[in-house]
Amino acid sequence: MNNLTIKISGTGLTKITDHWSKSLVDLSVESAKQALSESSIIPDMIIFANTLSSYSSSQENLSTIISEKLGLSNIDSFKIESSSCSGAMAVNIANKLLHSDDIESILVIGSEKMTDLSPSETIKATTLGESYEYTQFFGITMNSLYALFSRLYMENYNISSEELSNFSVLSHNNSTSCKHAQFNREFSLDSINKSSIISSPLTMLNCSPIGDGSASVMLSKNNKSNFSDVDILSSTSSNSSINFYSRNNLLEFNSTANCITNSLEESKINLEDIGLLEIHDVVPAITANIIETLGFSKPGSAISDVISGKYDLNSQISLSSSGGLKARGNPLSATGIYQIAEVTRQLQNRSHIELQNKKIGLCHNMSGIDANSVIHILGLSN
Amino acid sequence: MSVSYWRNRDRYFRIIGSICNSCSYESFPNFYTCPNCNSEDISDKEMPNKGKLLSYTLSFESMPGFEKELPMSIGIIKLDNNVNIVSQIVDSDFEDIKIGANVKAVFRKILSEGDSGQIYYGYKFKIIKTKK
Repeated sequence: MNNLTIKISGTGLTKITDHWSKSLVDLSVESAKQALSESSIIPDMIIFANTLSSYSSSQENLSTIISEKLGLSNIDSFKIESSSCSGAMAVNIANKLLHSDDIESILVIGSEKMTDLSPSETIKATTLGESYEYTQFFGITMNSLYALFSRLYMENYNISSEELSNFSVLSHNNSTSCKHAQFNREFSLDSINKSSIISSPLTMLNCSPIGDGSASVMLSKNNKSNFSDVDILSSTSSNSSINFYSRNNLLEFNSTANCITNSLEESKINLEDIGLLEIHDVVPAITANIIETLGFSKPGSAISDVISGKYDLNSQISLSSSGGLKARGNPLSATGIYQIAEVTRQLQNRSHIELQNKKIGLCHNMSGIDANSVIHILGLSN
Repeated sequence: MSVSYWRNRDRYFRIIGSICNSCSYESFPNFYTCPNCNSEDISDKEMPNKGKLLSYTLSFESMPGFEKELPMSIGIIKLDNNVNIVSQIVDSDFEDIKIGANVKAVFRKILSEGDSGQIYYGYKFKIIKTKK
């Protein structure tokens, strides 16, 4: 990468919920208009991140449709798909294009419409990123794969599912006042552990919810917004094998490990500098393994660190300050862009809660079980 | 689904994966370039039909068409050649489904397309009960 620094010049978010009266295009336009008005920039390019539109909305070519609805014609537009990390992947591609081309600005929109589907179709939708021939064909769902991973993690470190549910408690505590979050309420450890089983050992309140949402960010070489400059200090992605159960070590998250090594080198910061942490906290054991792979906790100790308060809002490092995938919500391709928009607003002191002395944030988004991972490190400009 | 099923029927019926003819690495599903030595000299290889459970779950949610399977037991199995596979576990009491349990492959109906549509078959696994 050259010495150019790409800036986040605008953000837009819709509330994540059952948007019965709004289409995928409606939601996309809503978040995009916010990002456009914050930045006062006419983008040279639109990148749309989405993974379900063919299945849930019978529609492709959406980057063109959304451009037209925004009144932005005669520009480049296309779609990026990388399952549940499509959003962060689109920002990663946008960052690379801005570094290598004479483009000045790119609007990245990530949207997902999940609630137009029936319950069983929704379960299939969340599993589309896994092998059709060897997972979906046999009726094996994404949550079942998360459950199989969770039991492996629990056995390896002798940790109970009840203990791991403390991650869900923390997420819900953090989202109570976050307006765009799907859940604005707390849940006790007991109620999380006693909620109905989805796929043992995972309870319903261990799993990220289903919701519609859209998030947008404007990336540019020159910030024209009224808010403080937030720079992309690093943007990295890496992949691994799709079937996690085929790997030599079933607990190793190699793509996340590659990403964090490359991110720290590219951003020239240390882990201790990071004050805000947004990760792909889709179910508790995955959350724990990500935190440990990133190096914030030792192997097997993420949950004891959560219980001791290491990742509380007012600690040196705040985890999922808007609720993460569990409580803010997880509209697949929008999720990675929600993370980036939330960290940007948090750094600019205009989030739902003011956190002191936060200068740098890390966002980690992934598809499947570490099939593809993307990490962005964002920082306030000096 | 029918064309994809027809294409893969042998792999579903006999659990056919791949073996690298250079380093003898085996895996399921099949591969084209050896992940161990990068060789492209690969052949089909039938996997052993026995193994041990590495992990398991009891699922209460289903994909379209699998509603009658609920609750559905699913496991990761380490086959006798050390290749891992994920599969539904059938014909077994849930209390016998434990990490380390011995399992063997069985031939079963996977899904049917309505009451008069095509029926799809493939592998599932069951617990081998040890004699007391």
